[in-house]
Amino acid sequence: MNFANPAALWLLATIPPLAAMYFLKVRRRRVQVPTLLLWSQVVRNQRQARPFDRFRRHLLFLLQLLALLLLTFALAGPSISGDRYLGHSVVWVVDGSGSMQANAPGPSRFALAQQAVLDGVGALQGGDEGMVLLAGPEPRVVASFTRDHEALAAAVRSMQVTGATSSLADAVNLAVALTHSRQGRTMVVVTDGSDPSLQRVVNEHPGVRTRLVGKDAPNVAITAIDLRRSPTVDLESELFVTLRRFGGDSGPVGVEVSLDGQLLTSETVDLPADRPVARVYRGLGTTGGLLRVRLETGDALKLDDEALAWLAAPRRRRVLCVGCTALTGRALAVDSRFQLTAASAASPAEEATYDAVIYEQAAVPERPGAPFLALGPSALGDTPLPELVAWPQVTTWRKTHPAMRFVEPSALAVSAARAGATAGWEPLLDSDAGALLSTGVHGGQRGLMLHFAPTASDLPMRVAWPIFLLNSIGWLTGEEARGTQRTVAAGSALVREGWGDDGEEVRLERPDGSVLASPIRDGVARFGGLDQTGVYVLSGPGGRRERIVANLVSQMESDLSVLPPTPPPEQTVTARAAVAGRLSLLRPVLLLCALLLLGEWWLYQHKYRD
Amino acid sequence: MLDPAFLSRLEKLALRSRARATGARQGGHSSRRRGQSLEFADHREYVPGDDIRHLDWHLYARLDTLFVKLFEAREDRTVQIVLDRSASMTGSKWDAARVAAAAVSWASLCTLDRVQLFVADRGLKAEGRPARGRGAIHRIFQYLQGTGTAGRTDLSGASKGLPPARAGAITVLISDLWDPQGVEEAIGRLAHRGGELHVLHVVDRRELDPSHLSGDLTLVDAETGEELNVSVDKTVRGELAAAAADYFATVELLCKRRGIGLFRLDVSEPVEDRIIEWLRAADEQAGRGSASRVGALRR
Repeated sequence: MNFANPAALWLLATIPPLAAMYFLKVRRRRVQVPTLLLWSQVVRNQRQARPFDRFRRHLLFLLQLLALLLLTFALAGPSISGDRYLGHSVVWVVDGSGSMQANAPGPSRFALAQQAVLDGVGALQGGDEGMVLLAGPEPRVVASFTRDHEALAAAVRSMQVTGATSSLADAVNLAVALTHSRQGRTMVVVTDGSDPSLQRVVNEHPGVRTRLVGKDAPNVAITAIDLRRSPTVDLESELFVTLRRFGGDSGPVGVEVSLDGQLLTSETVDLPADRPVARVYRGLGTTGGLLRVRLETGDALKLDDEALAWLAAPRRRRVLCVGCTALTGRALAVDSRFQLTAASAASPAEEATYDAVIYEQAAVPERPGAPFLALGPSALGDTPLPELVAWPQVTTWRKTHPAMRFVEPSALAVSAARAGATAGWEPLLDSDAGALLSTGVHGGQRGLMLHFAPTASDLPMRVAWPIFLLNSIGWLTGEEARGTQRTVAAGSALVREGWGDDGEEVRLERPDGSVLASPIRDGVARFGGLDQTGVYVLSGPGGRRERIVANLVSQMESDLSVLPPTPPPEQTVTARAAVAGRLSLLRPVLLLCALLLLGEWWLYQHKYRD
Repeated sequence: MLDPAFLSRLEKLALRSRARATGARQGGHSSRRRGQSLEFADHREYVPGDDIRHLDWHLYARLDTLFVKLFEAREDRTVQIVLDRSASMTGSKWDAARVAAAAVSWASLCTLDRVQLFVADRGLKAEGRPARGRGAIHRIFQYLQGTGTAGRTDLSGASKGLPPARAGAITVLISDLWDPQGVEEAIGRLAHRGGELHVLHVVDRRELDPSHLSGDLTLVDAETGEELNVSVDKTVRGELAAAAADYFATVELLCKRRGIGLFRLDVSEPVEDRIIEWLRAADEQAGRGSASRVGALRR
């Protein structure tokens, strides 16, 4: 027997005084009668015939006392614990990953999972409650705890499987957090066992039960896809695809590659069992478009038989360099994507004909004509920059920004820099004296500003210099989006910087046509896990658009082996106690109390009331 | 004290006895003696000295023998009223008892009986000398009005002080019969002392079914001051009513065995009507000569 609120038992201390007050209270009314002749006889007979009648007159008080005891007991929150009291609150965590789309055979694994949950919902008793979570790229509560079993079943039927990887551990952790206050709840994970985090779930939460759906099935899948610049043909790209057969015997598989629906090539590839095979496809042309790789298989999972890649139309970016030094020019010349034009000065109208402008040893005009990279400017238009600081020491930098990708500035030596904050600009590289590299918008153009002249540092002598320049120009001209950022794995989050000012909105159109919107905060627009495979269209302020493709490309999801998790080692007593449920006695005790008071009222009305 | 109309109705009634009166004076009741009344009783042969006015000349003409006519004597008798004035009679019972005593007194005085009123508690106290004639009623009324209830009931002790009654005398006991020592001895003594006994049992229904009493009570005896703690509920009230019924049945049986007239006067009913009813019933029973009239007297 457990008490949720044992302090309430102190109320029992009030019972002895109450009883004393009841018995000591002078409450007899004096009534004069002509004679006690008959009264004495009645009382004498009564005492002889019913010796317990002296208690009968206190019966109502005793019943009230008992009711008070029960009420105190109820306030203390009594409950009994034990394994047999599991199951009044049930949480189902349904695996919604891409592998659940596999045919079982027959209905898909996800359909089987839905049916398993529906069976569980149907087995709930009247007072039982249920909750359903879908484990997708991000765990989602499909139905909160409810005793409306029909609503619960409807929510289960409305669940949609995703085309992405998922984390059962995250979903279970969320469910545990949400049901922390529920004593004796049961959690059932319905999955095909493809998620390796399932083993961690079983180990960390011994009370979680696993319901496996589906059967082992062979599968051929595209496990990787990527576009790279062709090292041999200028402005062209090569398509890299990795194929793999999971289970079954080796055999040929037909592969088709098409661009915007036009078949580029097809071939038959011999795939050995359980070994990846990489394929490279060239001659993709320079028109750009949507590349589609399709496998001719009849396996259980169709989702991984197709992969997409977005091939941007190759175009040289025109970059104007105002006051460029030889170091800068040589660094940019290594990349044929950029066509550099040097000038000592340029009007905004001239600048507008370029994709980007580099200001080196030149003032940044009040209204630049294109996105710009300023190298060691003394001012931004009319806005002066901080005074020169000698030998600032690098402290932190933003690795995630495209301009800083693969740039290692930790040991950078700068003799003099106008380090410091610039209003409205975000630092990307910080020093003990202030920002050394920052990004922001000036004169309606986004820009990157290096707060020191490259020649005042050892940066041009480092490998990071050309990388930084190419990153920066690529980011300013949008060239960086040609690569991995436009072909992602389903389930990954989508983050875009520099798409507008805070408060503006970026919209994401999903493959199924639905649209998500995300406000820009701190210059960043974020979207949760892309849970479908296919083409997403990102649109932002000023008509800016970007197409992104998402593929499953996950060996974990493509491996359709149904592997039950290994049971955890022998559970400790503590673990068993955590599994054991509790049956609250509050309701029965309150019911008993109410019945007692009802009986007391009935006795008073029919036996005691005159 | 009594309404004139009620007095008028009482004048036509009398408390008659089955036994003939043996009074010392001429009264309104027939006697075993021969007298001067108009009621013919018998003939006997004439002897010298007889009043020749009583010779039956019609009989002499037929039989040629002288007979004198004998007539019944009209004599008075004594009505003794024993009024229980104990504290248990307090209230409406005392009012009803006084009215009954006054009514019996008036009806008796109207028939030239001698009326003697006694009040009883632990002893017996006479109101005065036996009264005779209508004019004595004022004295009785005054006494009744000036007397209140007090003391304990001891009918047995009180009955010892009652003077012996002649044949034909009537004793009326007006009481609620709540005697802790029991009423059997008292009634037996009154019945054996001669004459005829009537018991007028004054009853207050509320004492027998005290629906106004409930809960935990301390009952105080009006006569003794004795206290009794009792929790009154439906059951207790039911048992009290049953005990009262048993007690009344015992009294009825006692009276029936001894040929005593018992009449129950319920104070919750019109007292004057009930007294008239009682006197009429007693009159009928006296005329019928019934040995036991208890059943007839009961309503």
